[in-house]
Amino acid sequence: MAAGPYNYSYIFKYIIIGDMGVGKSCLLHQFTEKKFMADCPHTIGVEFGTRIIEVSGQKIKLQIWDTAGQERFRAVTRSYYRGAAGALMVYDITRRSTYNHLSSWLTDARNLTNPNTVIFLIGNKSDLEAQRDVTYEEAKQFADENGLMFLECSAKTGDNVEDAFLDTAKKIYQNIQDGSLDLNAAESGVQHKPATPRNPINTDQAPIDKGCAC
Amino acid sequence: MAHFGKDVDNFSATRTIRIVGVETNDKFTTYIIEIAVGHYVWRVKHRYNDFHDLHNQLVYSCKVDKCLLPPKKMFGNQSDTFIKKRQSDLEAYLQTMLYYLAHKVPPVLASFLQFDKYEIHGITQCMAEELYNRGDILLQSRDPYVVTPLQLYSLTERLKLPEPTCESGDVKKDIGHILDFITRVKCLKVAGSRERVGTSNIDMTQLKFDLSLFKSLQCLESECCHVSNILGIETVKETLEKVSIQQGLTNIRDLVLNGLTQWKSEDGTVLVTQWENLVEADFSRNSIREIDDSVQLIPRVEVLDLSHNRLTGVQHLNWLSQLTQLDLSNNQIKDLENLHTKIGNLKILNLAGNKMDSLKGLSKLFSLETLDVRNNNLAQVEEVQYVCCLPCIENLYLEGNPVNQVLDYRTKILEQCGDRVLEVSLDDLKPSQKELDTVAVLQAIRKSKENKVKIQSGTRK
Repeated sequence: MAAGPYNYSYIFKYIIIGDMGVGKSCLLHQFTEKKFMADCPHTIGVEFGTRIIEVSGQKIKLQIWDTAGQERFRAVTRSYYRGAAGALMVYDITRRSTYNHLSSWLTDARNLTNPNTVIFLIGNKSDLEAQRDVTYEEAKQFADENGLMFLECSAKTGDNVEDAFLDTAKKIYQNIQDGSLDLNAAESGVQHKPATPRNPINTDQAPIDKGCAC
Repeated sequence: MAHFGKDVDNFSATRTIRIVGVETNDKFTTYIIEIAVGHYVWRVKHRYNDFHDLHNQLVYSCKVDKCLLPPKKMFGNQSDTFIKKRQSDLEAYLQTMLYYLAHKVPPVLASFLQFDKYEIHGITQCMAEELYNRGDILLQSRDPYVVTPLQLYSLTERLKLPEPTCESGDVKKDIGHILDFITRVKCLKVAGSRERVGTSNIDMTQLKFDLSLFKSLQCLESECCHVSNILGIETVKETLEKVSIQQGLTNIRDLVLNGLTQWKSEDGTVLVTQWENLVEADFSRNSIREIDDSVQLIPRVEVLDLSHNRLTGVQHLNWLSQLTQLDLSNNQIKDLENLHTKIGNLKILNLAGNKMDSLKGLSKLFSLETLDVRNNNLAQVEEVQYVCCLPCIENLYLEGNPVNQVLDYRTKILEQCGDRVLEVSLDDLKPSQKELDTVAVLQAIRKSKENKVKIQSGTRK
């Protein structure tokens, strides 16, 4: 029996951070459901999503914590940073203020995660080219200066969304492979999950009464 | 509720730990430890040996001073004065441990004090570990995932705490595993109870919890848990196909509208979204007195169970145009006038255990296949005959009515069924050949009587 979607060998913890209204929940929704959520409500506290992806032939489950951007939830959202293997830091290319706040988000991320946490900068809403307020070049420069990976995405069209999540995972996986990420450290954000037994549900199903032939 | 740790409002509930008593038998002494956090209190019992084991582990894992625990005593350890002394020494020991370790209660101490049963971190860690190990298996199973309101409450409160997702340091206990599971689980059963939890004073009927992270929920069952304690219904209603709320509902609108009062504009336009996918609703064993107009928000319901309530009639069911099965058993219904004007395509109707004395109101429910009217006040064959000639009727249950005492009750009822007598089963019994013969004779007699009347009336003209 193929255990289907439930077979995976790693769990990576991701967090998505950034100002209110930059589209964090929409990015998550686009990535997990492959759909755009048009009128997405404000996140209260936290949202959560999972998806299993494949990197170099390894099945990896992403557990993604989507945090609330509102300031009043900051205390709670900070608590989710610890033990994240990947952090997606999002701003809105049509609102400069969200870009200006990046350094504060980055400070949080650096202080609260471990040195190996892969931080990926995402400029969301790339479909709204006409309203662009932050150029690609300056954001790219900011990313390079701070050693971040960077892409512009659109949660609406789905453009580059997949890549942002996958590239982060590839980088984390690479860190595991070259030994810079210690799997056994509690805060690595990565869990190695030994393959589940071939027929995990058989024991449960055994008592099904097939009826007596005699 | 009980939790050791910071929270958003810098809440610092008073926490006390005391040894409130001892139980002695001829072999050993058990100490009764009482832990109080805020106004929640629970008790655990331990022997000295348990303290000893705990201490050894704390010395090993937390570098606790070895001399803190009162020493072992081989002889004379059953005397009253000794036990009194030891009780207070052990109490001081526990207080010291908690004072120093409160920020990160080590797992051995947590399990010694049964945090896994009564404290938010303990409960959620326990859930997380179970779901880490068995989550995928549970997701493949068809059975609902059973939780208590206390577990759901703990999760809801835990998510409000500004603490890392994996505060214990054990990756299996990361609450991410709970969220991972609950965002995907399809069937949930909330098993409440009116009794206090274990040895504590925690009253589960008072605990509120939020279901909005259950994003794939198709089936929700809840027992002994008032719907006003369930938050996030607005979210789960989008995916729910089946809902069952027992012992937790006074009005249907409590669930369907979930506290909303302004849901219709003045011209009657509905301002809230419907329960688009709900096809089965079980509101049995509640204290519902009438079916309110909020049922128009659950228009796709095909199966509705309102048994064991306090209904005296039915209202507003005309909104449920898909309804095929209706259970109204064990209510206070006396009569149902012109039911066919309220319900259309009903196939199965259960009215057992009511106060019906006539079935006249059902005479035009032409789609009815099964009717259960056991244990009512039906006394006259004439009051029952209305349903016998329904064109699709197959199962008729009349037991427990005064009409059962009528001489030749079965044949009298069966006679009313006319040509359908071969297809009908009465009280779970198909008519016997003998009954069929009698019925045939009775029907023939009646026919000839009717003909006579016709002929007589014909000749008179």
